[in-house]
Amino acid sequence: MTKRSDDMHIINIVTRNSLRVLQRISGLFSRYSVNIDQMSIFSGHDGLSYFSVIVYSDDHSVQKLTNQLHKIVEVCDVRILNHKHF
Amino acid sequence: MKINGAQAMLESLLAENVDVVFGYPGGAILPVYDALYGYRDKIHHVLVRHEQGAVIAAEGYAKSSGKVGVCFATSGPGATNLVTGIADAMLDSVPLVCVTGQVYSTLIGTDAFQEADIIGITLPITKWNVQVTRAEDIPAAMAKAFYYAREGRPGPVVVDITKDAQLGLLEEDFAYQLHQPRKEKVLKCSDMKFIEIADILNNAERPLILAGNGVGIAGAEDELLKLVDKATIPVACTLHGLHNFPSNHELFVGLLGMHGNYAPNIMTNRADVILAVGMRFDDRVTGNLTKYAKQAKIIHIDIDHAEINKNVKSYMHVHADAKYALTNLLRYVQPNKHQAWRELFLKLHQEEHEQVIVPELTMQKDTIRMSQAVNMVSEKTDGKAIVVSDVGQNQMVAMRYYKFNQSKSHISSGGLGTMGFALPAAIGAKMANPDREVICVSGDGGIQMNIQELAVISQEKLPVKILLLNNNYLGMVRQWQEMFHEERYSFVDLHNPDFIGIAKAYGIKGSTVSDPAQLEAAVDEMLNSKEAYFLEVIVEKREKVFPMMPQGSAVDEIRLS
Repeated sequence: MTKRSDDMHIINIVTRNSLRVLQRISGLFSRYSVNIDQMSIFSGHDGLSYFSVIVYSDDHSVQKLTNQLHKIVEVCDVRILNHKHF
Repeated sequence: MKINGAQAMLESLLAENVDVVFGYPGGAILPVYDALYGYRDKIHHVLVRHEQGAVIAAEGYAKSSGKVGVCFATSGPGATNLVTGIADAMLDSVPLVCVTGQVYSTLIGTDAFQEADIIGITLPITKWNVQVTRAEDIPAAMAKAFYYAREGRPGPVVVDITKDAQLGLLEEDFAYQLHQPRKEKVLKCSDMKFIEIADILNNAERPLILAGNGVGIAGAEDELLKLVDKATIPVACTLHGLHNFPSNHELFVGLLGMHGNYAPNIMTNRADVILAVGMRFDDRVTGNLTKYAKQAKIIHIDIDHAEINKNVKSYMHVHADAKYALTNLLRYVQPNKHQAWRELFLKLHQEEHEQVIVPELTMQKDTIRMSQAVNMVSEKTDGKAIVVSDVGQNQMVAMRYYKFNQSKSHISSGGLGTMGFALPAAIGAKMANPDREVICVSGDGGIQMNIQELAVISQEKLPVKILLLNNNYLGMVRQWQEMFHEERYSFVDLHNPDFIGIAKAYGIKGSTVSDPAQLEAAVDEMLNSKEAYFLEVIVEKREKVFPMMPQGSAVDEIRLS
């Protein structure tokens, strides 16, 4: 898959730190056919987990995926950065 | 007094006012069933014959009552047998709490007997799911489960409880607190937005309302009626929206979708403003999206933000509950007439009436048509029964010919299209509505997918009426093969058993009718029966359902033949 820099999105997700939350998040990416290019996660001392996911996909697909991410009960916040932010 | 986890789970159900559950016992949920023995007078447990029957019965219960449906299953195969029903509830926004037993927490991950990772399996088809491994966590998990099953757009929740958690004693006295999220989402919209939307509706020349399942879930049937009466806007309904608006209302223009009515489908592509309420622009409703209502300003009201602009781009949207949105909109819409616009619907409806409805309902000498049977039941029950349809031609015909005039009356599997849905769902609907007539409309294919549940009807003495439309074919698949696959009838011919013999073996009265002259007497006998009744109607073998919008075509390319 070619990576067009215009398609790059950084999706920052904050979730409550619970079992399976990674599976819930990554499951949505695969369901919406958005390939994860890079992902880093760390769990804070505040009981929250911080995800930073880099994907190469069009705005519409990322928006649709993000709308679904918001529906995961454990998700507290989702922010998207795209090429316009850089 | 110290209670164990299983008792705590049942106490949680009582705290949530649950008095009916559907389930099937097994090894890993034995402690729950042991505790249930002591709760027999408070919780009515309906013993199904297959776990799929339990979850679908819970759906029928929930859809026909607005309450949360509850079902129990054991670990492993018990839990995996729930999967189809859970996926069905997810697509049709049905509030369910499914409690599954799980192997001892010490055995998880050891491939223990009847171990399945049901949390992993149901992750993409539940609103939320959780595994509980300690007794003291059960009340909070149950409270959260009920909260998420109901909250916003309802859906299914799975609570998987290990056997040791069911057996363990709670450290403290049982206390149940309704789940309260730290930040409750309050969905509101400014008055300015409602004024702006009302303005668009007031200035519309050709407005159309599309009413969906959300209208009924929000309990907004009256608000919709008031809005429609005030602004005089034609209303078309989706499959799940059908019972949310009276079919005898002069502004009701029919059913949307692939086998919906002619007028509303065509007029979708002529309207200048479309107000979509609690519906999600499913592909069966929209047909080809690139040719869907491009001329119209679409105003979308939905409680699920992910539905806004998902399939169809809206001009404006309200992210809120339908009742709240319609109540506010009602304040600002102006009385209107739209006379010329409404006449166009009548003209198209007349075409459908002459070319499809009249010929279908005209009795022939030798064979009965599905539509004739459903139409007769509709007339004789005055549109007041709960009609639970299966999937396929029987479902389309039930929708088209049963004239609903009461909400929570049309129970069907819309999103997932689960064959075998009707019989168990009818059991659930009857449990929730003992005073209403419940009619299960099924085909010969679908009925055999959960036919074992006839035993429940018999055991619970439920006076459910079963109308089997038997064409000895998988009729809808056959119709597609005839129309789009050069009549290559690949594996759709069913060699069926003696259905009445089966019903009788389960202790259910029944009869078969194939002569059109006998149909009325047979329907009367079914409806007059005080107990369950199985009426098999042998219908025309090669009947096709029309109108039809072939897959990939636009809404206004719907065909009458």
